[in-house]
This record gives sequence, C-alpha cells and structure tokens, in this order.
Amino acid sequence: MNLDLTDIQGNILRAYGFPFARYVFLNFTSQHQGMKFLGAVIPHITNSEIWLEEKPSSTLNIGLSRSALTALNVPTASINSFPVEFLNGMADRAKALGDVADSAPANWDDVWQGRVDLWISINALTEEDRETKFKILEDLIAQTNGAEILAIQNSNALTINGAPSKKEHFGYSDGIAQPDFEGSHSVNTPGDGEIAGNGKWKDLKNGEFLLGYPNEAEEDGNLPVPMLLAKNGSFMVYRKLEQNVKAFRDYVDAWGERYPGGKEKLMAKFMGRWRDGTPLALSPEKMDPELVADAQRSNNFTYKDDMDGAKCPLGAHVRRANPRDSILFNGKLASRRRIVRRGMPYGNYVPEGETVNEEERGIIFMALNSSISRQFEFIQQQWINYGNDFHLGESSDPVLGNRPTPGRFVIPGTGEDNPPFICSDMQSFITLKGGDYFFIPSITALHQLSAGLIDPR
Amino acid sequence: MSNYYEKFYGYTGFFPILKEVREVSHTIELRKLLSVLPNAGGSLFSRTGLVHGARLFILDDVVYNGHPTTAEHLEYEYLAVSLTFDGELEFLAEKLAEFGGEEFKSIFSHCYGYAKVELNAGSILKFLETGQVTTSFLYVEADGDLQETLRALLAQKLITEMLAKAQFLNTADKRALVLETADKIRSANLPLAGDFIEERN
Repeated sequence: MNLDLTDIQGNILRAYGFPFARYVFLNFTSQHQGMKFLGAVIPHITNSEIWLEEKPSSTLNIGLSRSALTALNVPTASINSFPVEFLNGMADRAKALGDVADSAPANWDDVWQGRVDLWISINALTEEDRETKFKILEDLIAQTNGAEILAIQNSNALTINGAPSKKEHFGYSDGIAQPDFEGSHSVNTPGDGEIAGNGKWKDLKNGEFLLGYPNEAEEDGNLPVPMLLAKNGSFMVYRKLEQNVKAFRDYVDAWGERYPGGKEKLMAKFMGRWRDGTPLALSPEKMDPELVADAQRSNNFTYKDDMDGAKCPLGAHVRRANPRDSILFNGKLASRRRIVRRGMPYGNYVPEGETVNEEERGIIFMALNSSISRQFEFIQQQWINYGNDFHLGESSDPVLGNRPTPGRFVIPGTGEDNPPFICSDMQSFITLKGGDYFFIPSITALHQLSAGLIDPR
Repeated sequence: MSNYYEKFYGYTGFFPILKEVREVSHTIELRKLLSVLPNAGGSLFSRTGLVHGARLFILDDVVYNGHPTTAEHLEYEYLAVSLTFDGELEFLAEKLAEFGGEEFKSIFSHCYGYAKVELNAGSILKFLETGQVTTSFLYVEADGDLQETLRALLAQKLITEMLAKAQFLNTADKRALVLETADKIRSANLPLAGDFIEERN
C-alpha cells in the first residue's frame, strides 16, 4: 500500500517516542484571521515521512474540533457530513461513555466548560526543544492574530530513579501494544496486527485508522465530504485521565495482603500484564524481563488456550481493551475495535512508599481511529465500563473503569487448590478531567481549510 | 399452534387506533402514555408474573421511497403488541384481569373493539385474540419459565455476594454463611421481571 507520507500528519502512522509533550488548546479569533493562522502553521506541521537519519528535535501536529469547522465557516453541507459523535463532542456522549459522577463534564477542567477549536501538540526530545517549538507557535499567533491560547497541558515521560521511564503513575509499563496496519511505520510485530491463523498475524486494513481507504469490512466508511477534506485524515479522542494514586495503592496494598498470590500478582491480574509488561497469557506466574525485551514474543499471544481466564482474567484491562480471539469469530470482531494510542503521563511520579501529595497526576490518553463511535466509544462503553461481552455482567475494568458505586473484580480459579478470588469494594481509580473529539486533517485538507476552498459538491 | 414454542408463547397483535375526531388524537395520547410506561419492574405485564418481555409501539404508516412512485399508506394506525410469556393466552388474560384491569383499559381503550370489553378474563382473552396475528415470533429468548429465570438471577446475585464474603471466613463461618444464603434464596420474595434492569430516565 503506497501512502502519501507527506500528506498524512505524523502522529498517526508512528509514535514519536519523545519524553516531553505539550498540548495547547486554542480558539480561532475570527474566520479570516483563523485561516491565516492555519496557513501559517502548516509548514511547521510534522508529517509521516520516514526519518532516515536522526529524529527531529521536536514535532508539531494539529487537530480541529467541530467548533473549528464552524469558526472557519466551512460549508454546512460539509460540516453536517461529519459523524454525529464528532459533531456532538465528547461531553455530549458522557452518559454512553460512563463519564458520570466525578467524571461528568460539569466537573471537568475550566477549559472544557466552553468552546475549544484546536488541539496543537508539541513533542520534543528535551524541555528546551519543547520551549523552542512553543515559541514558534506563539510567534505565529502574534503574527497572524488568528488564534488565542485557552490552556496548556504539559506531559512528560515519568522520571523514575532519575531516568525517563515508560511507566505510568500506578507503576505499569504503558503503551506496549499498538495495532499494526497497512502503511504504519512499525516493523511488523507478532500480536500487534490481526490474527491470520496458524499462529501468524497480518496488518489490519489502514481504513480502520486513516480516512479514505478500505477498512476491515472492505468499505471506505461514511466519510465527510468532499473526499479531499477527509482523505488521509483521522479522528482523535483526547482525554485527560487523572489517576488517584493513593486510592489505587491503598487498595492493592489491602487486597494484596488477602490475595494468596500477593500484591504484585494481584496488580498483574488487574492489568493482564505484570508491571514490567510481561503478559500473563505467556507467563502467568512471574515477570519475565527477557520475554518483555523480545518484541517477537512480548505481544505474541491469543487467549484461545485461556478461555476461562485462569491465566489472564476475563476482566483484566488488556483483555477488555483488546480481547483478541476471546470473543466470537476468532478475533474478527476485535479487529473492528482497535485504536492507535498516543499519550503520556502528566504530573510527577511518587515513589512507592512515599506519601502521595495532592498534585495533579494522570495520563493524557489519545486514541486515533477512523470511526470514534465504532472503535473508541464501543471499547469504552461496552468493554471498559460493562462486561456482558465477557460474561461478566455489569462489571467494569479494574484499572480504568468508572464506578460511581463500588464494584467487584473476579480472578478466576483453576480448582480446589486455586479457588477464584473476588475483590470487592473497588472504587474508581481514574477521574476524567476533560477532553474532546478532534479531526486530524491531512496537509492537503489543512491547505484547503486555510484557503476557504472546501466545496462539498 | 404456531404461537406456542415449547413452554413459551410468542404473542403478536395489531390493534387499529380510533380515528375519532377530538382535540388530541388517540394516537398522540397513546404515544404519550406508552412513553411513560415503566420499562423496569412494576409494569402491567411484569405484574402478571408470566411475561418475560413486552414491547408496545405504534405502527403509524408504511414508508416507501422507491419505484414505482405510487404511495401506499395504511388505512389505520395500529398499536402493535409483542409479548413473550409462559403458558397459554388464557392464563395471561386471567392475570391481566387480576393485576392490571384499569391499566389495560387505559392502553387499549384507544383502539377499535375495546368499547365492548369488560375487565374479566374471558372478555380480555377475546379482545387479545381479535388483534392477534399468527406468528412464532418470540420477543425474548429464555431457558426456563419466568419464575425459574427470576429465581436463578436472584440466586446468582446472592451467591456472588456469599462468595465474596466467604473467601475470608473460617470453615465454621463459611458453613453458616452457606446455610444462611441457601435460606435467603429459598425465602426471598422473587423480584419482578425487569427489576434487574435500570429504570429509564
């Protein structure tokens, strides 16, 4: 599959892997100044071209919300052709997504209480590089007077024992498995694509993540019009997930004492991977650093020999978020519900054993997909906050689930010597602090938008 | 009988809605009434103790956008009723008369043929048969009859609670808890169909 890599924004086909990020939220000041600003930003946007030699020191990408399209006076016929969940925005979808109680939109950060047109992300090698790129952005704003900054969110790889780490605040390694799809830059890694049979894997269709290409149903999906606006674009979900580290640690301390396997194993059962990333499906009894380090093996598993969840519980986070072949049709259903995850922690890590202070900390969760409702929203509603597909009734994801009333988590057993274990009184460990759905246009589409040349006919 | 499938009865009926001219049409009033009927436990059909699931809706017209362009329309608007329940239609009519006569009236009195209905089993049965179409459509699939299904759901809930507690108890306390749970399962009042789902809001 030949993709025009110069036309596709760079955060879709590859993860940048930089330790520093800044997400800037802006509004256009007016249609014409806004178009000018957008045009000025385009040359600074990082595309998907392969970095042959060394990485750049920083990158910049842009996403537009529905209100941005309105602000740019995009023709109504074109705006109305966007998917309804994008048009309505994430706050409007709160009930279906389980974003209720403390996570309800009324409790989100101030910036999300009003209009947010743009998300601009800067990823950088060092803090200095991040500031340099941000200064460029500020200059573009000053030169064009086309946008105003509403809020800034910094995000950093956590520093643990003095070094940048891939861990998140609860202590798990994060961002391990990503979907392999046609044209994605990742070297094919067993377990990342879709099940091809005989222990083999193949790339997912790129229409699952990029607009304008056939998806897993061999369809282009319902694309916004005109095609020139949609093609090579994607949709992004942005969620600021605050992690309640104290509540989580207190819980695993208390229940880890009761669980016969101990705290470390209990945490592995919650996640479906040990904290170092070793999948329970491959190593149910212990962490295996060699396995984690071997990309050919670390994600190369299915659940067909573990349908009762004796190794990896049916309700464990990674099994819910990507059930592989543990639901019907040998993984075919799961292939329509994959998301590319981009994101990083924010706030400072609190070493274990130290008192957790009141500072903000959590994860900026970003997901890319071509249909927010079919992919991200389905996963969040049906698999993270509900359990029926896994025969787990009303239960929710132990780590990510939103539980306004305390819930349970069941670790299946294997017999008399190893009975099932039920964790009760489990509250939410995550609170949503805001976010929205953004359109990530191609470079071509950005040019068209900045020139006011969107013609839906 | 084609409506009958093992121990379940799949009832489908269409009742033409009165066209009588008045300030608010029967269809509007009926639609309003249907929109506020409880969809969790406590509904008319739930109270009969026989009905696994009930769906009521208004079939107001047929929509056809294709070719040829001759538009076809229904002569009447219909109240469509789909029920899956245990046993025979006679039993259901008896229970409806016993548990929901007035509510039954409030719904069906918007339909032709209801004026002559009296709130007794025989009259309700005759009315239900008048609107009935022959089909084996089952709205709900169930393994056991309603009472078995409700008891199983209740048992599942109580046993899960028991297991969560039992894992930290000594043998004697575990035994006592098992007996207590068994007793609860035997003696608890059965929930109504729909009690396990959330009330619509």
